[in-house]
Amino acid sequence: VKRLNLKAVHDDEIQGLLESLGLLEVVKSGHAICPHCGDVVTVENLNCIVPRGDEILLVCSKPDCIESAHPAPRQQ
Amino acid sequence: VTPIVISITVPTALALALIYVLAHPERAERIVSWIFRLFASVSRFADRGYVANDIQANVNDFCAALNRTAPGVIPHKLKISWVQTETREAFLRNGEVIVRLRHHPDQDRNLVAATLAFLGRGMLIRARAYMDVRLSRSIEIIATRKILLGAKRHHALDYFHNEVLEPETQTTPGLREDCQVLQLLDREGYFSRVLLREMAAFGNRVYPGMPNANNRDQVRAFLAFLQTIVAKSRGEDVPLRFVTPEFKVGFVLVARHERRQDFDPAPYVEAIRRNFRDGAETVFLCGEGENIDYVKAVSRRLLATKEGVKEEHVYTVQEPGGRTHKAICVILGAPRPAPHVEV
Repeated sequence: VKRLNLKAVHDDEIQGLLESLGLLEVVKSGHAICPHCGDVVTVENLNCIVPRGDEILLVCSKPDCIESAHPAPRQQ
Repeated sequence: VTPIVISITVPTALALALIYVLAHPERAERIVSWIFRLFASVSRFADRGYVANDIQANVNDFCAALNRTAPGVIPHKLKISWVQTETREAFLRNGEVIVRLRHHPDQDRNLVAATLAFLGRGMLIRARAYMDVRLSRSIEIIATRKILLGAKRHHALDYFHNEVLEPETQTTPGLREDCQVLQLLDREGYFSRVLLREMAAFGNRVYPGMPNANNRDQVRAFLAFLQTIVAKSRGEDVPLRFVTPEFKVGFVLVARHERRQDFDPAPYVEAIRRNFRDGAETVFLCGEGENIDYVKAVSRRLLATKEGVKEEHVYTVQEPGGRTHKAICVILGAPRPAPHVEV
């Protein structure tokens, strides 16, 4: 049976990942906005990171926002 | 004697364990998750190992069970792969979402988030585009509930109800009603073995056509057809065939009370044949309680003539008051046409 890959970042590595993506300062300065609800995204309430065209979207942890954020994971 | 006993039992036990793991990989994930769980409070590696393996075990356990009752509904297993760093360019090029998973004390929340993310993309892959968004979401909700209930994760279920389901039902009119219909189908054993199975077949029939309103209407009509059957009272006549270009399904229910004296399978066999003649590709032969033996008698008659018995499921129906009873569903495929012979 093939597997669907769901990429995940652990709590311990979230800041490192944001830094490698060049987004840590944006989040820490309070300028990251959830594209679905418009709330400020912080390191605490960040739920997923979404590639969209040339942009990277940071989505907060509200269930509605999470639901609308997931494109298909890739098959292995 | 002891070294000899050890030299025999240890390799035998290891060989049996290996065979078990190979035969039930999802169980192996669960065992691994238990081992990681022991050390999750003192080791970051174990914490990650527990979080990922616990989610995979629960979701993949459900997928394995679902694929036994409704093959092809979730064709893939879940694999969680951890990301630590990634360049902006590589992330945009790969195009995959990264989900945040928290430390193991928040595992209920992790399980709900990962399950929804997986089901949202891994279940009914083809059919999803051809049904309305609300129904698609309702199916995910019922499947998520089944995963959490199956895993006996009652705190996760509470979190799901309070933090996901309630807010969504308040903001999405009709979602609660859809979920109630699906819940009714599930209670009667029709959610996976009839609805999901037929939705997967529907997806294969309409794919790769352009999704349109008619597709969505047909799915809704099929759901209403199933709802009528499960909600009908004993002896009530309701439509038992749903044959359209998108769905080709028939039901034969055994048996009416007055027909049970001197039970004869012949009328039921004829009803099944009539369904196939009228275009059904799958016929569900169902009964419950004392009628199970009669269903089996019809099934045996069909097997004797090699008439398309694909699967026989005996299962337990949970009644609203907490009582249970047994039911049976025999799934029949259309007999293959005789090979054409050139004269």
